[in-house]
Amino acid sequence: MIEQGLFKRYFVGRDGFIWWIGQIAPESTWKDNQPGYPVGTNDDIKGFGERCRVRIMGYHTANIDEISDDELPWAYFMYPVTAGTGNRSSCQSANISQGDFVFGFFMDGEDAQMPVIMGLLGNNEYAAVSKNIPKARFVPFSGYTESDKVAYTSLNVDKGGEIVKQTGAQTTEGKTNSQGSKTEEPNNPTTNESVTQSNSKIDAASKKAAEEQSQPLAQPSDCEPIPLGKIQKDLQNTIVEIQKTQKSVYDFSKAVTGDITGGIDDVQNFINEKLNWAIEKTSEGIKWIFKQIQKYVTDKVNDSMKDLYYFLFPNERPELKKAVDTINDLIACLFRKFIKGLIVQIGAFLKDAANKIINGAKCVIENLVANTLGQIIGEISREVNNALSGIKSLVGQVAQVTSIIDDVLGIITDLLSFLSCEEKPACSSINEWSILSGAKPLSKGDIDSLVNKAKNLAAGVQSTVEGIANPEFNFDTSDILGLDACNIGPQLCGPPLAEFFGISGTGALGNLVISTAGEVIGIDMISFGIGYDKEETYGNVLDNCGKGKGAVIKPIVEDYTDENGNIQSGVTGIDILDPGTGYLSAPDGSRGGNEYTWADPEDSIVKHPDGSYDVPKPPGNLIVVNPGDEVILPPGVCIVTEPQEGGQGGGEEICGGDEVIVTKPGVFTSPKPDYSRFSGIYPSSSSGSYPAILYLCEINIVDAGINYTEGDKIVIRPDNGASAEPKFDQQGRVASIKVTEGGEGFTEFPQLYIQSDTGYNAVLIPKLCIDRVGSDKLKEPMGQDKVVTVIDCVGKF
Amino acid sequence: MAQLKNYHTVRYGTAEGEIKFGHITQDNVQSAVMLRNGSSNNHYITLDSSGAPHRKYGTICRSPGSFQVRAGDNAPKDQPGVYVEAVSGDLILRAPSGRVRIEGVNIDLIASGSDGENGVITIDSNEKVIIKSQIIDVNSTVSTKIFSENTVNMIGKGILNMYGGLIDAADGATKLKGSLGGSLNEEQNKV
Repeated sequence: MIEQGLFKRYFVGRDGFIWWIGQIAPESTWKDNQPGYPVGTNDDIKGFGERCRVRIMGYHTANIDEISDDELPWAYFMYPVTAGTGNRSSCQSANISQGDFVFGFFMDGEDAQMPVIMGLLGNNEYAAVSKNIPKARFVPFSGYTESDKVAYTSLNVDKGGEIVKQTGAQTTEGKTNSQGSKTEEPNNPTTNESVTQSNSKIDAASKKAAEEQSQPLAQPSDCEPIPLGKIQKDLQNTIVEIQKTQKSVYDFSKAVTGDITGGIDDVQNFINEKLNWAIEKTSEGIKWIFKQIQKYVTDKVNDSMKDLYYFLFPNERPELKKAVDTINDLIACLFRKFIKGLIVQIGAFLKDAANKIINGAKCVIENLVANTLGQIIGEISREVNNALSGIKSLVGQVAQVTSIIDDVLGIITDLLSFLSCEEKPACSSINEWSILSGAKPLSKGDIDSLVNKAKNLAAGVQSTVEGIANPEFNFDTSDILGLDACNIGPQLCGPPLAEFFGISGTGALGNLVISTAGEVIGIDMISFGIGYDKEETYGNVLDNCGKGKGAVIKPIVEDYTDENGNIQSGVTGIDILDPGTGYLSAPDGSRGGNEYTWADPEDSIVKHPDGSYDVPKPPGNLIVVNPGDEVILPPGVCIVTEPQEGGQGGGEEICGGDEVIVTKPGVFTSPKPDYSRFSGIYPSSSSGSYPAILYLCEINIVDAGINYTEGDKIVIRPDNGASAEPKFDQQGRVASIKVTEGGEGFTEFPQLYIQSDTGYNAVLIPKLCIDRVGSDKLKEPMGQDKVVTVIDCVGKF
Repeated sequence: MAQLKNYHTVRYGTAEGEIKFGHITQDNVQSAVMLRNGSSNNHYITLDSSGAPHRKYGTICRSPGSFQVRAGDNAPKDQPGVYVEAVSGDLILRAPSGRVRIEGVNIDLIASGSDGENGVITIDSNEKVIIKSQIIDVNSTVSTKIFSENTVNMIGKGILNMYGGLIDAADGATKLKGSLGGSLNEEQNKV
């Protein structure tokens, strides 16, 4: 040291290289080095370039009483050769925050007054990063200041995970206030300040982005006269958004990805806003239906008038014209009145139904529309026939429109085509779209069922209100949820279903085979269906709980001979373009519907006697129950209720796994499931299953690649005894692949590639076919590990 | 294979925003490039490189705020200022809670289908279609129809000219007993 002091040359590189490790001081002590916003002149810039204060280990103590942050030296930054210096407008800003651990060297050697930062030591996920700045330095603390907004890309969606707190050097002496605690409350549960960020942990922004709902696309009324599917989808989307928002009160991951920025009041405001939107959309959809009904009724009435024109002399016809005008006006006014009343009544209905419909939004909307139609038709029949009776004075007989109810939806046929050779305009087969998952088939509803329900209701309305004026016309929506056996309660989540849709075809059904890793690996076709178009038939993997994502299937449409010997065009199988991930191979105890997981397996569920559900509560929340409430607790646990306030009730035992009707008032804390007392597939009435064995039957070429040569081999991982041989064209592209051995016992989607010294980029996708397994095969010693269990979902989930 | 993995994802970013190369999305798609806003949950641009056919090599622009394109300041008259083309598939413009406005010096809607089912322009509204102009020409090669279930009014406040090579007219009274000679209109209205 003395030697260096005596012979110091004050020239960088000649006085040795002294490097150091330190920590960036709180930004309040250095941020004003730069203005923080673009200013007009240099006079407003206090510092020289990018600098910050740094506390250097071994040179400065951790104790801020001894050296305060304001007294620390300014450190300059060293930039990499890729960053530029600013010359020729080439530059890259430093990315340094308070609390960063950095290392560097002193430009002035042992004087240690001119530190230069060369690099940073990044945080990892295990390092406990204090949310606030601890009194004692040299422990990790957050780069966010107390007033900063944390990036959604840094917010965790799961709070768990191990972290390692740094305790720092222990002293036997008493600490001063400024030394303080070496550790403060870490921010790790909520915030990821590791160098890998969202590369390694799920962040709120990514989760939110993956929750995009599909949207219904409107079609011309010639293509979809009754837009049931659109109304259903809008309602379904709204219900799911409301349920997510309600759940965000109890569920952290839904809270960080939710749209609520305020408190509990905001939740209610959000729900009201969403409901109003749904009311508007439902009313919009029903208005389209009204338009069709109005067209039909007007046609019917005017047609019945024609029968009367003949009986009048030409000089009497102006009077009849006035009467017909009046009736037409009446019809128009009636529909105006209906539409006015509709918004109010649908609003009341949806507000009541929002906490009752967990599943089956389609069925509910069908009932709502049938109910509305029935009541309108009944009311119109009565009003119109009353009005027509007034014409008797003119023509001496009563005109009667009797068939409005009978032909309630004769509207479908449009009369505009006068030319026998005129073709109907083509309609799009895509009427639902998601920016993430693409096209889906939008249900057009069961029109026949709807018409029958409407007819019955119309007849009822007409007979009950005969002769009674209903000037305000209030729709009765009280019975819609119970009108038909709509399964609107939460359903056990299970394997997904395969849907096939397009311009034609019906009846194709199959059970998807799901691997234990949650991939779609095959299908067992139960029925090929009939009438499918070979070009325009599409497939979709429908997960009623929305758990799995990303599976892409393409139906194979072929001719086959049915049991009656007729040639039919049906879906005989699928190509799996992407097996996806996250699908359930069997029910796991979670419940939901409408493509949303409403309750997790550990949640407690309460259904009230009026059919409404409380928000499912995770373990640890207080639940109040009253007689008649239906409770579902997680499996394997039993609780005993406590009395409610005032000492009412209590002492009732409720055990998990199935519905229990409560008989006494009580209070309990939602319990944690006890899986040690429970094993196997979650109990379900719909878990009929059968064993199957999968083998490799085909390999599809997605990308033929380039420059492969004869002798290159296809690698199948795991191969399960399967092998295949490729053939290449002159440019080394894969021309064809022959499966030489199918192997057996695939329980996951195999990875395929071509081992080659020369070729690149071929993408191959396996097609696994299914063998149903007889009981004799299962008895073989090596049989069990080759078997997959297929849940018979068709018609059940 | 199902759960995509990328051990070479690169991120550049701050709390305000980030750009990532090789990001794996939560719906199991790899984005070659993703650019997103740190202070909003749903504000990003992705260039995807895997997934369903529309996702693979597709681009998603998502923003809770407005998405605005303003371009063509220097475009000469013979070149488009903004060009949007769906090479294959439909072009869908939706505003389910708003109004679709198209404004221009001239507006052309051209449907050019190749058969009798295509080449159709449909305007379908559940309340009213209003067409206003100084001059309205309706011109068809085969047939022009104006149809209402209720009333059709044709009013020429100055002059109403009606011309037909042959004129055929009938009213509802001919439903029970036809006029002398009969007509196609009568037949159609008896139905």
